[in-house]
Parts: sequence; C-alpha cells; structure tokens
Amino acid sequence: MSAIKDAENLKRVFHAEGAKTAQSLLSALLIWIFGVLLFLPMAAALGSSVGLLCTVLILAGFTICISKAVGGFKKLIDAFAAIPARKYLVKRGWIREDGNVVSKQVLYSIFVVILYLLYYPLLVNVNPAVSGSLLIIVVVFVFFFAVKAIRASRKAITGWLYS
Amino acid sequence: MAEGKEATKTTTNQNESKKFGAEMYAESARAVREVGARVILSVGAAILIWLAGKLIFVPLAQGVTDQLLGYPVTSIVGAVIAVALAIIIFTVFIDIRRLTGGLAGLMAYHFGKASGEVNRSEFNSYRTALDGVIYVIVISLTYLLFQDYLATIHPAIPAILLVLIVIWAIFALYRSSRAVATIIGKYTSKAAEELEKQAKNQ
Repeated sequence: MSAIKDAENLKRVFHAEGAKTAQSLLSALLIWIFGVLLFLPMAAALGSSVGLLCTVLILAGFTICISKAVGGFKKLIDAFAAIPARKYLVKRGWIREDGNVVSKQVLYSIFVVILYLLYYPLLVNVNPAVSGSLLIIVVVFVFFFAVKAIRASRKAITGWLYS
Repeated sequence: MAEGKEATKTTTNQNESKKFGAEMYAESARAVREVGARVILSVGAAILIWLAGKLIFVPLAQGVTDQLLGYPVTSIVGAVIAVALAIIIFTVFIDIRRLTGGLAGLMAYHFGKASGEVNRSEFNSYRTALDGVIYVIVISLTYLLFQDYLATIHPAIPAILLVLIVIWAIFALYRSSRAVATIIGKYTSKAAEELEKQAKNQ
C-alpha cells in the first residue's frame, strides 16, 4: 500500500514540478555549456578583466536558473527517494522511514557535489579562494547529510554488527 | 463501432502528422539548398579576407610607423578590414538566418521523428529552441572573425561587444529552453505515469 502511495506522490510531484524544474535545469545547463566552453575562452583572450566580467555575467545567469530549479528539484528528490529506498533498503529488512531518510541524504549529497562541480570552472575564474570556500561549505553539507543518514541507519548498522 | 471510429481518427492524425513532417522537412531542406551555397561562398570570402588581413596587411601596417590623419596605420587597416567583413557578413545575414532556420527545421524534424511524433506545435517548439542555440553559435563565430580587427581600432571594442553578446546569449538560451517547456512537460508526465505503473506492478 505504501508503495502505491509513494508512486502517487511521485506522480503528483512530477506533474507539479517536473516540467518547470527540467526547464530551469535545461536553461542553466545551456548557459553553463556556452559560458564555459565558448564565452570564457573568448573572454580570456581579451584579458583578465573582461574574463572576470563575463564570468560574473554567466555566473549570475546560471545561478538565477539554478535557484529557480532547486526548490522543485528538492521536492522531486524527496518524492523519488522512496524508489531506491524500497529497491535497495526496505527489501533487505530496513524500516521504510529509515530507508527513505538514507536514500534522500545520499541523493542530496550527489546533487550538492554535482552542483559544486558545475560551479567550479566559473568560480575558479573569479578567484580560486572562492571555489575553495565553496568546497568547504559543500564538505560541511555532505557531512551533515552523512550524519543524518548514519543516524537513520544505526539500527541496521548495529543489527549487521551483531548478526 | 466507437472503437472503429477511434482507430480511423488515430490513423488520420498519424497521416496528417506524417504529411506535416514531410512538408516541413522538404521546406527546411529547400531553404538549406537555396541559401547554403551562397552563405558558404560569402563565409569563405570573409575567411579569406580575415586570413589576408591577419597574415599580410596587419603585419605590413605594423611596419609603418607614420600616422595617417592622426591615426596609426594599423588601426586604419584594421577598420577597413572590419568594415569589409561587416559588409560581406551583413549582406548574407538574411541568408544566414534562413540557413540556421532551415538547419533548425531539419534537426527539429529528426528530433520529432526520434520521439515518434511530428506535430505542428512540437516541431515549432524544437525549431525555436534549436534556432536559438544555432544562432548563438553563429554570432559567436562571427564575433571571432571581427575580434582581432576591432582590437586594432581600440582594445575596448571587442571587450564591450563580447559582454553584450554574453548578455544576449543568456537571454537567447533561456528563451530556447522555454520553447521546449511544453514538450518537457509532456515527457515528465509520461515518465511519472510510467513510474507509477512500475511501482504498482511491484
């Protein structure tokens, strides 16, 4: 029954957020591809100040599109997390809620790391220290996600240790 | 009886869709055929002028230390070549627009065919999206032709132009992705229904 509820929830979120989020992500991806592969090398040939200005413009466009997508993407991750949780964790005897939490935290971590990797070539052009600072923030976020996941999976871990 | 009617309706829609796809493909292919040769010739001429300027005239002008009408000869040669390039590019600009439109049409047809359907609104959406993307590439490549010569006139000109192109490209790419929003919506709905079906079957 819960599987059907999860599926209905996923369908509802997909209908409500899917198109809008996908469109914003597509815009962000297009801006990133053209910016990083085309405009930044062109700007680099004209000097560091032009490169910096173009980087800031591309960064602004990319960030606006990503910020539009983040809310919807979080809802999609929340709804989608039930599927890998059921497939890999609940079938192995995990409690459904715990499985969902672990699955969500893993997906959040993957999303945050991918986002950082997309920002990296843009931020390095602004200043390498900025990308370094962001990396520290990303590591802190991933640490908190890991703590949440470990807290949710402590029963499974202790069960596995004493089995 | 009702099923028969429904089947006839579906077949008619498919035939109309196929006919429309074939028409659009033929129209796009015709546009590419008609203007393709002219655009290639003009772009070839522009590249030759660019090469001659870069390898012969600008180095020659750099050897001249005198000024002409108060301006360095390099700047004047650069400006002349930039104007010549501009004339060539702008005379075929409409053709380039038609060519990119045609190419976008051909790609849109193949995209539509790959997804199994070619209807008017989807074709137009794909076309608008691809048109924007191709247009950004064309403008960027055109800018590369002008960049060196504009820099000989004043180093700030290519920089300002590039910044303007980047701003325009961000909006053009955003518009392109908006054009396919309805198609994305259709696919996400299909994906959601498929996922629900799979989950219920498990």
